[in-house]
Amino acid sequence: MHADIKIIGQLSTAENILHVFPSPRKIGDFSTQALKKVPGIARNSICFKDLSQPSGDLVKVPCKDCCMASQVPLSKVQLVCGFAGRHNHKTYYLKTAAHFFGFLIIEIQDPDLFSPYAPFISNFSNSISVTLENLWQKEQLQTKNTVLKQHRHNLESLIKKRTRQLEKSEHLLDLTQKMAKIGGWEWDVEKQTMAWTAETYRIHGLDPGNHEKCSSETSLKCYDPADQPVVWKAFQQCIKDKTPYDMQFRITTYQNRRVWIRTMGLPVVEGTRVTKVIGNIMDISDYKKLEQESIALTRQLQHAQKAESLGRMAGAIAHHFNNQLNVVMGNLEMALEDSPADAVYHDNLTAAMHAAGKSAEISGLMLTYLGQGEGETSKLELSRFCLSYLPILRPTLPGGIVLETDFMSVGPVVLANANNMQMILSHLITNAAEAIGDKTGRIKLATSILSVSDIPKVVTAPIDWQPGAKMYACVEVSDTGCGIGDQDMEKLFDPFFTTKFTGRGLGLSVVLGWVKSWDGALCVESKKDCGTRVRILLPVQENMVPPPSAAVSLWPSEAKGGTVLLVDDQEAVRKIGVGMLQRLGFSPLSAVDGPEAVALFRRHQDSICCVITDLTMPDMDGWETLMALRKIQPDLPVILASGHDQTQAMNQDHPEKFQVFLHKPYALVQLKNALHKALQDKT
Amino acid sequence: MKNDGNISLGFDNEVYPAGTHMCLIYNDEAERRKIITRFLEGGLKTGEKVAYFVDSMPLTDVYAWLEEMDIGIPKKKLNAAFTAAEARKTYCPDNTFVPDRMLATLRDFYSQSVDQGYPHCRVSGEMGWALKNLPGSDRIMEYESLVNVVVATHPVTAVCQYDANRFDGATILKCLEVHPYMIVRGQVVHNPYYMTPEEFLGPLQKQPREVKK
Repeated sequence: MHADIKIIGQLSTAENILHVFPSPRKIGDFSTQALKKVPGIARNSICFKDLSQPSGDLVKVPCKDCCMASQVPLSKVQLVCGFAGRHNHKTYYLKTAAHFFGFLIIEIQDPDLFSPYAPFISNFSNSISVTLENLWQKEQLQTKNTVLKQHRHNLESLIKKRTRQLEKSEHLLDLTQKMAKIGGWEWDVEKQTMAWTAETYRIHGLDPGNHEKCSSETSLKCYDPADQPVVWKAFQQCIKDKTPYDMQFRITTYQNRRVWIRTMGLPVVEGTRVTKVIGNIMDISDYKKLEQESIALTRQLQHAQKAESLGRMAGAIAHHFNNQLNVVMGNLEMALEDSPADAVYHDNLTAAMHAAGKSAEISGLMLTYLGQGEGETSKLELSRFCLSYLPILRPTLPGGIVLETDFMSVGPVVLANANNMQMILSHLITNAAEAIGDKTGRIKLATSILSVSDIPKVVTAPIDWQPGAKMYACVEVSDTGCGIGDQDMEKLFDPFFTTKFTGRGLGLSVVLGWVKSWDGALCVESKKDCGTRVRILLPVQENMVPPPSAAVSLWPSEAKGGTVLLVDDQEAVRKIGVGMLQRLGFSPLSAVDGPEAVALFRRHQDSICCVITDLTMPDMDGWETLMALRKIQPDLPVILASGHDQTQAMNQDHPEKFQVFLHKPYALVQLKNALHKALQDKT
Repeated sequence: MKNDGNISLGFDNEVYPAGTHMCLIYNDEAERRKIITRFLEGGLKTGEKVAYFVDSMPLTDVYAWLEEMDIGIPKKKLNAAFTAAEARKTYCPDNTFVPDRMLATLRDFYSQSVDQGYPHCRVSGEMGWALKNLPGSDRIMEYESLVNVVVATHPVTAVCQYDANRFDGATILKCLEVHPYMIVRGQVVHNPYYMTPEEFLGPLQKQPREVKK
C-alpha cells in the first residue's frame, strides 16, 4: 500500500508547528492527537520521563516497569518500556544525543495500513525529540538567564550600594579635607599622570572641576621662584632615590592669595621601582599665624617678665637706696651746717652732698622708669608747648641739621608734666641729632591726633600696652639719621642700655616711665641707615585750653616746734631723722614700728603734735599705723615719709589720709616744709 | 455578492483571494505583533475596511498601536476605515457565544464595507476570550468551520489568533482542522489538516443558520 500524501502532509505540518508549543505536555497532547489521523493506528501515547501522566489514549498510568518510575539513567533506557516488544505495538524512543525524554508508543490496528507511514512516524518522533531538546535548552537558557538576571540585579544593587557608600565616603573625605585644609595628590610615574583631590584644587585657588589644570606644572607655578627648584628637586629625588619629603613653603594661589603650605611626598615602590608618588598639601596659614602670634606673645611675655623683674629690682634698689641716701644726705647736711665755711673738710662735705644729691636724682629717675614719675600732671596743649620750646631746641642742633615742624593749629590737649615733657623732647631731639651726627640731615617735630585704628603696629612700649582711649595725641620726632639695628630695637627701653658712651643709658627708659605714668605709649620705627621715627602717644583730654600754671607757693621758712613722733624700722633713718628734727627745733620721739608708735603716742598724746611714719614696716605698715593713731586722735597730723613714688604711696583707698607726703631722701628744708604744711592743715 | 480578485496580506509577497481564512498559532508575542501589524497595515494602506477584535490589551492600546504603524493616510479617513472592539463583547455581546450571531456580524461587516465603497475588508480576532468559560464558547470550532461557508459569499479576509501558551494541544489540532490556511514562521501555507465544514460538522451542518433577531 502507498502512503496517502495528505497524511504525509499532515505529519509534515505537525512537525512544522511543534515549535510553537511551550511545554512537553502540549507537544504530547498535540502529537498524540495528530497521530490519530494516521491510518492503521488504533491508539497512541507519549510517556514523558519527567511527567507523571502520559499524553494520548494508550497509556493511562505509567507501567510499573516504566523508566519514569525508576528514573533509570540514559544508558539503561533501552531495557525499559512496558510496551517494548509487545505484539502490534511500536515504541519510539524520544531522545537526542544528550537527553532522553520518553517514549512514543503506538498500538497498531492494521499493520498493512500502518506500514507505509512507519518512516514518517519515525521522522515525526525524531521531530518531537528535537523539539523537546530545543525546549529543554530554552528552559535551561531561561533558567540561566533568570539566574543571570538575578545575579545581575544583585550585582547592580551591590554596585548601587557600593556607589552610594563610595559617594558618601568621598563626600565625607571631601568635607574632612576641607575642614582640615589638607588635599591629596598622586603622581603616576609610568603613566605620567597626576590626580588631585578637590581640596588640592581649592588650596591652589582653582575650581575642583577644573581637571585640565591638574598637573605638577600648575602646582609649581604657585611657588616663589626661589622655592621652585627646591621643591622640584625634592620631588625628583623622591622618585629617583625613594626619599620621602616634608617641607613648608609660602605660595601664591591662582586667586592671588599668599598662603603657607606644608607639602609631603611619599614614594610607592613596586619591586625596585617607584611607580607612584602619593602626597598631600596642607594649608598651614592659620597654624603659621598662630605660631607667629605665639612667638610674639612669648616675646611680649619675656619682655614683660624682664620689665617686671627690672622694675622690682629698680624699685627695691630705689627704696633701700633712698633710705640710705636719706641717712647720708641728712648727716652731710647737718655736718655742713655745723662746719665752718672755711674748714678744710667743707669742700669735701659739699662735694659729698652734691654727689648724694645726684644719687638721689638717679634714684628718682629709676622710679620714673617704673612709671612712678614724680611731678604733678596738668593739662598741656602740645602744639603750643612744642612751639614755645623751639627757641630752646634749635640752638642745640648742629649746623647741618634742619629742624622741620608740623604742628596742629590748635591742641591736642593732654595730661602731662610740663617739665618732664620738656626733658622728653630734649632727649628725643638730642638722640635724633646724634643719629645724624656730622652729616646733613633733617629732624621733624610734629603734633597730630590719631584714632586707635591709626596707631601703627610697630615696636611699641610698654610691650603690653592696650589703648584705653578713643583718640590719642601724637608728638612725633623723626630723623634721617643712621637708624637703629634690629638687635638694639629690642633693648631700646631697658634701663642702662646704651649704644653711646657710658652714662647715657637711662634716658629712653625714663621717657618711657613718664609716658607710661600719663597712660601713654611710645612707638618706634627705625631702619638701619634710613632714620628713626619716635611717636609719643597720650590720651587726648577735653579740648580745653589749660589755665596758665599757677605760681608755686612757698612754705613759710619758720618751723613751729613741739614733739614729733618719728616711726621708721631703719635705725639709721631714725637717727638722722631725730637729728634733723632737733635741728629744726622739735622734740623728737622715735619708734621702731607701728605698735611701739601707738604705745608711745598713748603715753605722750598731749605733747605729740605730729607723727612722721615710714610706709614699709613689719607688723603694721604706715597706713595701719595711721589708722591706729587716728583712732586715738582723729585730727592728728601724720606725714608719710617714703622712698616710693608719692602717687603709688598716697593713692590708696583708706578712710584716713596722710596730710603730707615726704619723699626720701629729704633735706632739712623739705622736712621743715612738710611739718609746716601738716601742722597748718590741722589749724 | 462581490467576489473580487486577490489581495495582499501584507506579511508575505504573495497574493491571496479575498476571503482567505487563516489561523495564526503563536507563542512569541513579538512575532505575533509583527505579523498582525503587517496584516492590518496591508489592509489600511490598500484602502480596505479593517476590524480588529482585541482580547490581550485595552482598546486604547490598540489605537496607540495603530498610531505607531504610521499608515500615512489622513486621520479622518483612517478612523472611518479602522474599527477596534473588545473581542469578548463582539463575540459574546450578552456574555453568551452564539456562532450564528457572530456569523451574521461578519456578513454585516462585509455588507457595510461594500456600501461604504471599500474594495475589500479584513478582520483579525484574538481568540483568547474562548478560554473564559462563557456559555457557548465550546462551540468556537463549530463557528470557525462555518466561517468558511460565510467567506465563500462574503469574502472577509480573516486571521484568527490562537496563543499556544494558553490553548491545549488538542484544541490547537482542532483549530487546524477548521482553517484552510495557516501562518507558519511568517508564511501562509495550505493546511493539510483542514476539513470542510461538511466533513468537520457532519452532513447536518451544511448551511449556516440564520440568526434569530
